[in-house]
Amino acid sequence: MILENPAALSLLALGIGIVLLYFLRTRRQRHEVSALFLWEGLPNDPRTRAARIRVRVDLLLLLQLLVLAALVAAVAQPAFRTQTPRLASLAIVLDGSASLRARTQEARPIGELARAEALALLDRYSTTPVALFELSTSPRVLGPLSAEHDRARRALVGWEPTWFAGGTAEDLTGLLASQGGAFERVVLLTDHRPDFSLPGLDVVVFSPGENVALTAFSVREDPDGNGSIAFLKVRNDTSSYRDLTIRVSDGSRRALLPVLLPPGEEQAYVLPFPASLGPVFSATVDGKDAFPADDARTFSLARRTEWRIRVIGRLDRYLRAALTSLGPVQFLEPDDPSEADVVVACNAPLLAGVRENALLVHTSLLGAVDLGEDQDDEAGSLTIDQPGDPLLADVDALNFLARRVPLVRLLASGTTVLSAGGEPILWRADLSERRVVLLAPDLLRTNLPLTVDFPLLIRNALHWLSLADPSAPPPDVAAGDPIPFASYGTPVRLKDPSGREMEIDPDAAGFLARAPGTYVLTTSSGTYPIAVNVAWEESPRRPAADASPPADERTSTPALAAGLLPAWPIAAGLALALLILEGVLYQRPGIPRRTK
Amino acid sequence: MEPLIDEAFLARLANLKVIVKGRRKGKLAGLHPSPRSGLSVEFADYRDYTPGDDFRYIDWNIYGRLDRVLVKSFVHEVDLPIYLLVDLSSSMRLGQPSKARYAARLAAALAYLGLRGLDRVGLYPFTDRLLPVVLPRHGMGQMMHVLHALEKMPAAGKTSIDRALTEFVSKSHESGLVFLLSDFLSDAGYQEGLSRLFHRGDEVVVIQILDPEELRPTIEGSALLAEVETSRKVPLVIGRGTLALYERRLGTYLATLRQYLSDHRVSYALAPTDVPLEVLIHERLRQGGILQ
Repeated sequence: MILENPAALSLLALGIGIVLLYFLRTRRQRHEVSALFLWEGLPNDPRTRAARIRVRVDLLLLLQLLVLAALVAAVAQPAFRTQTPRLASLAIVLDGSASLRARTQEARPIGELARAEALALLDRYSTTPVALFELSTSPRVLGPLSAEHDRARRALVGWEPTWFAGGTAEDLTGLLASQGGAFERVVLLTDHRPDFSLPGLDVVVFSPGENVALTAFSVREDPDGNGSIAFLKVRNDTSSYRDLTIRVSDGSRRALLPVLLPPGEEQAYVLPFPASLGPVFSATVDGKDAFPADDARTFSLARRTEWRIRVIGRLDRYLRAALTSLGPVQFLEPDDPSEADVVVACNAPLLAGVRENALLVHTSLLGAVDLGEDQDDEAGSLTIDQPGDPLLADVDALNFLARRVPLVRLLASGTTVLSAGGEPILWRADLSERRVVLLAPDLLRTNLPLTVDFPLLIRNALHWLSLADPSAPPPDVAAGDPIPFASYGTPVRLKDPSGREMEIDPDAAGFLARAPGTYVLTTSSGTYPIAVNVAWEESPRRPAADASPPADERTSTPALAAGLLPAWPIAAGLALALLILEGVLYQRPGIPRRTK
Repeated sequence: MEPLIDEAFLARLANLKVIVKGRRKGKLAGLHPSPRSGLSVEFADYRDYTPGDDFRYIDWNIYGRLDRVLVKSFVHEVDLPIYLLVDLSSSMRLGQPSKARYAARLAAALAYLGLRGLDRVGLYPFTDRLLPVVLPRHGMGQMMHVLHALEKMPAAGKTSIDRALTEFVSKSHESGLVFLLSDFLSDAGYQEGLSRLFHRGDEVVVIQILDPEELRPTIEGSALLAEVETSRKVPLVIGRGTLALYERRLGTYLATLRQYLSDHRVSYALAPTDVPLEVLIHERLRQGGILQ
């Protein structure tokens, strides 16, 4: 026997009320005595007073409790299993997406419920050929179509949902096709209504509990040079206002943002994070909810953790200081075979074979720039040819002076940003093989190194040069997304969020981030943090109040709906009979009752 | 309802008679010795012959031996008025059987014994006053009057032994043997009424009829105790401790009653209604010197 509405068993608690009423009724019994003078003044017996609340056998109370139990049993809709049903074929599809890791309102893991339901279906259709699938962005067959369910059962023993995003109708169709495709019935065990329907599809939905989700998180540098700015979106899928604290951290410093979020709403927040460029940031929102995995997200700025700069010529000490202020810098010798992020050539021509993007300081580049003799310019004032150019971001160029500038012959098309005496002194070009920035004057003949804007100018130049990489790695990825190594260089090793390091075959094309967290990839060109998060659409959402299920969808298990003989009329009849018996006995003298 | 008295029960009472302490001054001839000499067969004494004495009572043997003329005198036997005073207040209807019923059966038995002893028997039911009475008369015909009166008497009203006995003394001018059947469970007092009987010279026998529930209550729990005669109520949570206190208080009360009666040489018997009437009569009343 099963109960189709087991929640009704909670009504049994009403029995407590009946028993309490039974005890609370006046129990004083009237006794006639010949004379009161022998009783008056006697003290009440405290032990007997306490004994009033002892449980005593009362037939009517017992019958009342039995009536309640029978009524509750009727409301719980008991049903008998009549016979083992049989189908031509059955496909059990477990939603393997990350949202199955959420919990129900009763704090039961949805994945566990889905697994138990799958096992129940295997028991129910013990003679039916069954195929078992897991549906996600990486769908797979857990148990091939077979009337023997041993393999499917073994797959279910240790099964748990992935961290991946949910699969599509095409993914499901492909899965079904891999086992022949023609299933008489397909049961999808999931946590939400799918946005598609298939013939013969039955959906069993295990609704998640209330949830607060961090649905978006990104960080970019403050254009004013004051560190970084975090952008967040938080959604409150609960039925009440939530007083939340958003925390953003770069691993050493933390910023807090208290917010009050109305129920059912998603709001965006901007949180300045001064004096930090990361590169790895994490954001968390507090509070216990149904899906803790979306309470934290990570983000890595699309920057290298270390600058590898090949130096040609002798660096001016101010220029070296400006380069060092970018962050960790590794200076490479001109003949170092390692790949560099950028080349800085200072008063010396580029060597043949050097292909990296280049910052040219008072030097020529074959086929692009030819510098002539220096000429004096008494005025020394500069002209800003491109005020909004990215090379001048945060830079006040009016402070610059250049009393001696070379004659410059530009051999390639580019953008002159600054000029002095008609000669370009800051020029940039996006050539076919590389990007180039030319700082034409001899630094010792200008006041540039002495200005506070010089490091900013150098930072802008190197950022512009480094962003020229067309295969820049993505700032963050969703769990389950493949990450190609080509974006980062030749892979060497990978450290996963748990801290475990593994060597990578240099010929490997990429890897699949199976769990959220921060992965650290080391390649021949540097070290890259990669933020991996749970796909935002996996956060459990409250269904809309007016949402109606698709026509083919059922939210009850078909296996349980079929082959059941309802037994609630028996329970209801028993309740009625007990009620009548209780009424008859109440009217009958001699039956013990507490009050008359 | 069980009859008050039946043939078999009466047959078993055949050998019993009421004990009367001392000699009574009866009006009519009976079986009880009188302080006066009389014509019974029981020898009493000798006295000197005086002119006018009946020659038949001169003891000629004594005259022959002692040369003195002495006359034999005999015990004068008289009858005795037996008053059956039965308490019929509301408290007497309690119990199973009720104390009133038990008292009625006992009164019927005593009436039978009295009438069978050639005494006059009268029935005086009372509450806080005398109810309609059956005046004392001889003969078994009186038995029917007594039984009829006992059968139709309901137990109702308050108790006042003092007032009832005072009224009894004023209405019955001849002293006699008074059987007082009551539960004596009243705080209104009984001493004044009894003292009036003592002063008149009545011989009093008190038979206290109590229900076993009054002697050893079994009530437990929260109770509302209601006095049947006054409708006063007392709420009480009763347990073993309470019952022990009650029994102690009842014991003291009964001891006081017995002591008072003993001081006035009043015969007393306790009659719990769970004791069969035959056992009461044949054992307890005989052991108490009330019957023989």
